[in-house]
Amino acid sequence: MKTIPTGFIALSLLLGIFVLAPASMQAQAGPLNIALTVTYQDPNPKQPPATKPNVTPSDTKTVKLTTANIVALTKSAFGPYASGSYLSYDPDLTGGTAAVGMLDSAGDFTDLSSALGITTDFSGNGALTSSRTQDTSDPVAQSIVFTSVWNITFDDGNGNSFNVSGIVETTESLAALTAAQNTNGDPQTETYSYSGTVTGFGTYGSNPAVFKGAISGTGKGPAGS
Amino acid sequence: MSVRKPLSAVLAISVMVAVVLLGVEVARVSLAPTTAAVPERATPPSLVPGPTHPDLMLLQTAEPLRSVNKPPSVISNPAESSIIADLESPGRDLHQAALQRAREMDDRSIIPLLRGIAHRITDDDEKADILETIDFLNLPSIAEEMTEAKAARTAAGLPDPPQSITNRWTGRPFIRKE
Repeated sequence: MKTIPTGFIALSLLLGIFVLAPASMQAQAGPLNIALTVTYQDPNPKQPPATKPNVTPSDTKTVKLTTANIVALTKSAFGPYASGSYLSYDPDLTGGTAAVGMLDSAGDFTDLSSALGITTDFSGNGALTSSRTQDTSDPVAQSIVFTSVWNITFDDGNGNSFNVSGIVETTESLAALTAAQNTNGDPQTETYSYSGTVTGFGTYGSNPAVFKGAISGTGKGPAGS
Repeated sequence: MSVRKPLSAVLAISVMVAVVLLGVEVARVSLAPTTAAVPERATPPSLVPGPTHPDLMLLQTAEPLRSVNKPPSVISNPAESSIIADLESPGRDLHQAALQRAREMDDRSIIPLLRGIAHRITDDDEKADILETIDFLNLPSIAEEMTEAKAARTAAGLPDPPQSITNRWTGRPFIRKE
């Protein structure tokens, strides 16, 4: 009797999936949260009051812009994003390459840097550091607080854009080097969190708008990656 | 005997048809609230237009009553419960971080809980922080407004505005997925 080699077929399919899977990014980036209020010029023309025909009324409206909205605005051009994906950012504390994009649970990364850019300088003008420097030849637990100006720009290509800046405080914590990390020559484990308020300007539906709100985020990974 | 047999057969068929029809009606009634109540996360349940079918009205009123009877400390969403726990712990920084998380979570279901805390606390600054967060959550989102604008354009037969090919801040082209 002829049998179907189901086990072999399943194994082949699995191997195929693994071979075709895109390259993963190091899990250094953490979720980036943005919550802004957007006050924009109402484009709809208003009728002057009957008693004051020479008056031209104009008005503003306010909406909110959250991380979920940014994901929705970029989805059509940069997506689709895998289920469970989140907007992530690696603040590049230790000289690696800063990255902003969508990260899914498998570690696959969709680069959004052509739409959403974050620039800051943890050691340049206006950047402050609060820490107790340790001897790097024997890495021990330490915590560093960076206070710096961040600039975030966004443009979805459909008339929604902002350019906001503000002072953001970033706390980087380095755990003491473990015995295993020491043996393998691996770096310390780094965790970081940042939060701050930002303000700026831009457009909403191509109408002039001002933006005000807060950003925050966290992340964890090997230091220097 | 020969007359009773067809009669009982007719009766049996009638009962079966009635049961099937009742089943269809029950299924229709059970499924309807899902489509009626979900459409907008943003709309408070009390503002969702209710169905007129008496059974549906019974089904709809049962859920809010359970919610009302639920102790306020039991919150099913872990993120919400963490926010409320932080707000009920001492520390202004902790409170502000919790309110920021509420804004980022952007879920209007937390508003009644925030309102409850705002009623209880005496510190005017903290109360203002909470009320500001509630105002933020109540704002329409860009996504909601854009969906409405697109629907209005479609209804008016207008095309979508042209897409830009370069980022207005960097001047560089967008790198879109193929």
